[in-house]
Amino acid sequence: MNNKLALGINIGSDQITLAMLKKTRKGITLVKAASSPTSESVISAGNIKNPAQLARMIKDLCSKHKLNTSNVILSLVARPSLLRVTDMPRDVGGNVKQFVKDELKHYAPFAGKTVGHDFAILKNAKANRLLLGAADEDKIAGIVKACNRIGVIIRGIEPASLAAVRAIYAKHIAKKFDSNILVAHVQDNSLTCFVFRDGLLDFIKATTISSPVNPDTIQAFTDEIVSVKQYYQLELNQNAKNWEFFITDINSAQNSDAVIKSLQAHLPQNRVYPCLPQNVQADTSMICSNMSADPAAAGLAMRLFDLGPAELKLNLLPASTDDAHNLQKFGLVMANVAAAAFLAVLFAVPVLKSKLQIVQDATAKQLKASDLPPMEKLLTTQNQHTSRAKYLKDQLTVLTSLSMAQLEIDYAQILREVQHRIPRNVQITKMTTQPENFTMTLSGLAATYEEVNMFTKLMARSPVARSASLIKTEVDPTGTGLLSYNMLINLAPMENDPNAR
Amino acid sequence: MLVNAYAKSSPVSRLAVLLFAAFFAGINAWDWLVAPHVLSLKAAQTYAAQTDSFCKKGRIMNATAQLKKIEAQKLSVEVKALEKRFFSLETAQIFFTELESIANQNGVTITSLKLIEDAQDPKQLTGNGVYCHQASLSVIGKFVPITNLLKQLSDYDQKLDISAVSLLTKKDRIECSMILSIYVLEQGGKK
Repeated sequence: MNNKLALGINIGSDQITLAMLKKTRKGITLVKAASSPTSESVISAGNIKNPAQLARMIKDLCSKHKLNTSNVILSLVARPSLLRVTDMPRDVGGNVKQFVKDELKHYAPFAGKTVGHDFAILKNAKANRLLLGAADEDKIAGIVKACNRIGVIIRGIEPASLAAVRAIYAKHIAKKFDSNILVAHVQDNSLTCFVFRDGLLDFIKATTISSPVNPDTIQAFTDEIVSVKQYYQLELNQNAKNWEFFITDINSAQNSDAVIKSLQAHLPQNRVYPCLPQNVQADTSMICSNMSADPAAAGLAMRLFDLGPAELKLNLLPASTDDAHNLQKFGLVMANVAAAAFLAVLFAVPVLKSKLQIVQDATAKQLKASDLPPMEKLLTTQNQHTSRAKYLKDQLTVLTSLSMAQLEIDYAQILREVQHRIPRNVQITKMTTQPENFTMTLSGLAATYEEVNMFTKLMARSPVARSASLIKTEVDPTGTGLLSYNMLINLAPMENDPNAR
Repeated sequence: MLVNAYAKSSPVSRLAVLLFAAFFAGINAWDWLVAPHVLSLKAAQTYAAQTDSFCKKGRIMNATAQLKKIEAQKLSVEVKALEKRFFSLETAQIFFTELESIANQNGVTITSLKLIEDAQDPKQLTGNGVYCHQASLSVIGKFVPITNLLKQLSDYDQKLDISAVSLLTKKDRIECSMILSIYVLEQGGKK
């Protein structure tokens, strides 16, 4: 919905007039105005005979002039209808709604009908007063439903006369405390007079008359307006007050001129001013760019922008149609949300697919680039190499320790030492070694004890022996005359030189 | 019946039904259309993360395996160099075969050479296939040749231990007995 545009549609028995307003930074601008004639088959005797046809006419007119139909307000076309100022008793208190309902119950034309109504409390220091509007709800609902069905979204319904007053309020009514102002709105067969006293709405009088095309009806208009002035002069003793008269008429300028002339003739001392479509720029606060527009249609559109005084605002749009519209709006919003969600789901699938493809490609690329054998094979290879290295390390340790182990007793060296140190007359008959004790026993024969003793001493000095001792000497029992000896040598272990071998 | 119920329903209830249907359809559309793709994407992302981790671990394992391989190669070279100091089954046989000629070269005569009974079932010194074989050797000859023989044996290329040497003079010659211990490295740790 474009809230910056508002379309006011004033439906008359002769023609439909449109005014589209736009909210800009400079103010409210009249964007477009249009009108189209109606026929009796559509509107007759102030009632809509064929709502669907009327709605179609409105739609066609809007389409023809390319007007946005999402923010529309219609004039009230229903008879009987009620628009009046009512005094409110002091004991009503805050229960104004119930008071209004009770008031409408006593209004005979609405007997047995569903009444659509709205009210606005008037600011009056002397008494609590209400502006009250009401109409047969079924008649209003018909056109609203027909319009909503074809896409003309109705936001409000208001009497055209009230809208016309709103349109000229800023320029002609507001802040005029020195005179009484009477605004007469002429539309179809009705004349509605609004009296503003001390700048406040004081009185409304609606009269049904015949078509204002002949001098008789013009005279009737004039009499009605003059009678209102006389009522104030006589009943309320307001002779001294100045009066200004504003006539808003959607009919031809020729008719307006006739009414004005008639009024000026009867009210020569008062100002009588016609508010015509061509004068809309002078009569309203809108930016009009020399365009012509029906003041009532413009006033209706202004209602959607909340312009004009608060006490001149009524909305007779039936609550049921409003609810239906809200429901429809909610349904539309939910449908849009559902559609958006469904679209999101639909779009999510290719997005997820492409993301999946990217991840899969990256993984495949990584696997290809790594060029690694399967994990089992890697593990097996690693274990094989590790166990092989461990085995070889152990083997190396064992073999090194074994190869480093030197002969503890060097027998060749011992024999060489014995050979070098044995005296001439000493003989060895037996040599035994006891490796576990690191000892060696030499047995033999010698000529003299001194030589045996010397041999013992020489062996004791040998590097292969730690000590040498003679453990036994005796005369050889075989009768050779030689000396038999036994020598015990404690052997010295070899120097542990790894490079010895 | 349903047509009647629908015709009699209020716009609010119709809207509520439509909303519920839309909500239900939305949930199902999500379950049927989007959820599988979301799951697939999550699985693919998890797989990608695992693959990344696998590749990193794989590279580390590969590098470790290569290092171990290089270490094993180095150790293998060292072990092979050391193995030359030990008898193999072949060189042990050759040694015992050539022992008589070694003795003769040194001027001694082998009078006895026999394996010690325990050596029939040689003791494995380590778990790495090194076995110790022992033999009892007796030779007869002069003192100096016997000394030379002992010297040659103790200087043998392969590890050879001599123990329990005893000498006994018999007329003008000496009988020498000893125990020879040789260390045989059996390939692959097998006996």
